[in-house]
Amino acid sequence: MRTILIIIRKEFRQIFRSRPMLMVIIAMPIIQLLILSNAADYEIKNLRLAIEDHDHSSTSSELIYDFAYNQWFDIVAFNNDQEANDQLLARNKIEAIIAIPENFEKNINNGYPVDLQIRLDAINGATAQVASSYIISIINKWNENGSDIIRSRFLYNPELNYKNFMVPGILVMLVTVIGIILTALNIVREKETGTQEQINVTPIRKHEYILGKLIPMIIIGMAEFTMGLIIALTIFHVPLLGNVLLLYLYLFFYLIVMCGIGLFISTIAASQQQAVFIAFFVMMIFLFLSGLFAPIASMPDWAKVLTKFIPLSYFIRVMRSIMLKGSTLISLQKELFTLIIMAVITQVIAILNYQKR
Amino acid sequence: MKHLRIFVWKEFLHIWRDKKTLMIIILLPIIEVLLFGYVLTSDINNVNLGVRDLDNTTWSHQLILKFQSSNYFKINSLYTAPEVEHALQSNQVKVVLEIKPDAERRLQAGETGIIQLLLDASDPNIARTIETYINSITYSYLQKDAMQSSQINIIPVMYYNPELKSVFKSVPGLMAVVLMLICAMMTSVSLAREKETGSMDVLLISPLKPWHIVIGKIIPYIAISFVNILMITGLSYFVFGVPIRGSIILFFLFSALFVICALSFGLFISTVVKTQQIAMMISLAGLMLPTTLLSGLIYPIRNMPGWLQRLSGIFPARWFVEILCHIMLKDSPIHYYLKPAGIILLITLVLLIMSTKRFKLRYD
Repeated sequence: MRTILIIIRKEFRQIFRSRPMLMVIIAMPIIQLLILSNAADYEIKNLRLAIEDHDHSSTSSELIYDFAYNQWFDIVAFNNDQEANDQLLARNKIEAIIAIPENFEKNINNGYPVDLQIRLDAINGATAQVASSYIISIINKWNENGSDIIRSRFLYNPELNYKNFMVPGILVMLVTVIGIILTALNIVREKETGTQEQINVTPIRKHEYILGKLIPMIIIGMAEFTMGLIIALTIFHVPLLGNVLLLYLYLFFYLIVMCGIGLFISTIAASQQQAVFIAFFVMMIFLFLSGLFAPIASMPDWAKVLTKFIPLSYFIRVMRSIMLKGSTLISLQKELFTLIIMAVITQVIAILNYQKR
Repeated sequence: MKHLRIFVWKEFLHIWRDKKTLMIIILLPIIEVLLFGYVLTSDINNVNLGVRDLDNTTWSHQLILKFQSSNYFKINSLYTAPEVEHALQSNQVKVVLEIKPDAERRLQAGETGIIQLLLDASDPNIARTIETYINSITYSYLQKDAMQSSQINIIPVMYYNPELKSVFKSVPGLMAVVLMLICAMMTSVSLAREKETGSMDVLLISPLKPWHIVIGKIIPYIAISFVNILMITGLSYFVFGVPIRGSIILFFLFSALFVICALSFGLFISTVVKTQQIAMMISLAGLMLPTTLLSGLIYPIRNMPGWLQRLSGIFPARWFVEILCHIMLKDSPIHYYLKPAGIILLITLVLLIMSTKRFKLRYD
């Protein structure tokens, strides 16, 4: 026990002595959180439109008013020159073109269906989808003549604030980076500089050494998470409906998994450079399959199976559920068991691989 | 010239010997393209739709059938309010559709709120898109039902990317990320290693001139970048059908410009730092992060707050992505993207001037 405490003290001393390391631990997460939370947004605040009115009737102007007086839209161009409007689209001056056909009013009054063309810049498929759903919802209102047959309630995030969705996920990303990279770099440096050899000839046992390495990392990860959580709650006003202690319970096991992966990377990497590259590579795959950037529900089946092996996907789901929905342990017990099993497996693999050397 | 050739060969050997790093350099772009192509989509399909049918008549059954046959939804029947609550809480369903009792009669009487939608809005975009789909399906059912007139059909025309594939937007962004990784990060770390291990001094007293060392370090990475460009465009073209609609010559010309820009970043970083670790941290935090997040690779720049948009303008990746979109996807005339090209050129010149100044200061 005393040996472990001594190693922990040594680790902390080493980390606090290195200025760049401190920067990485303290400044980088804050910058990441601030930039990423603001950058990650599909929501379009004002969709710039060009409108072609080939009908010029009172009905078509009524429809245009609906767009003009809606806070989502911003009518930039208003002319019937198709080519000019397409060029505006190509130069990123507008997001969409709405074309009202000839005989629009006549057909509507006679009860014939009318085709309304909307042209969108679809290079970013996700934003194109959001933009067209904005336009369609206006037309839907028009179709139902203002009556209110369907009533929608947006639960858990009634203001449809995208930050509420992203920030909990970004917090997970931050502790992941710390858990994997810091652990991997820390141990590889001992190898590279040769201090590993010196420790090997001391009476320190393997498990004492590994615990002495892991405990500081878990403490740093927890501190990091707390810092991020405070920023999330105070600056971004993300709600925290569930139990904070429950969050930390999941975080604890999650950090053990991440440190296990970091430890494993350190056993296969020969230099710090290699360790960073391998860690970068692993994290990239983790992040893309985690459901942070794109919903897991939209992935193909084989990718859905893969996400089951990604610890991030569980913890991100837990974070979002506890913070936004106030979920309790009962509805998230599967995630807890999975994380515990993952923690055991990664640690066992890492330690076995470690002892071989 | 012979010295230079030998030096370049030595660098190639260094890279070749580090098999793990080499494997990652080659695998990274392949896996990224595949992930972006297959995995990162926000299509709506097989959404778990909870249905609580309090009406339970032929009318409501037919409405539910409409949802079932639409391919977008998977129906889960729910019966009680607590069941609805639990299904939403535990992520079993994304949305619940509640049909009120006696719906058809109330509809004819002109009542409102006959159908209630409960959406899990933790992901606002998905919630909004699902709402639009459900509304459209319901209204088309109601209109057929009532033979109601005056219906506007919407015909969306998706320019440049008709199938809304996310890989279209990603390929230009991926090129930026991968080229930054190889040219800026690898070059800066490689030069920093020579300094850290002291072999830089050995090189400097050798007959090699300083610019030989720089050129010799750069050439292998230019070669690797070229291989990666071919791999990314080839893979995305043959597997996902991402076209190069504009001129291929311009495509390679502007890619080369960006490669030079990234290399000057790497060079500049290496003149500032003393150790590999700091070189890596600076490249990761100062280059990789902004390149991934602020280039428009995942999230559109126009949605960002003003200060972040201006910040993204400092990094060449954003402008490179814009140029590639014009060349690859829009086939725009060249004057549409002269401004971004000019900005990249300017950044490159500034970096080169600054690093030659610093380089001389240290080693002459």
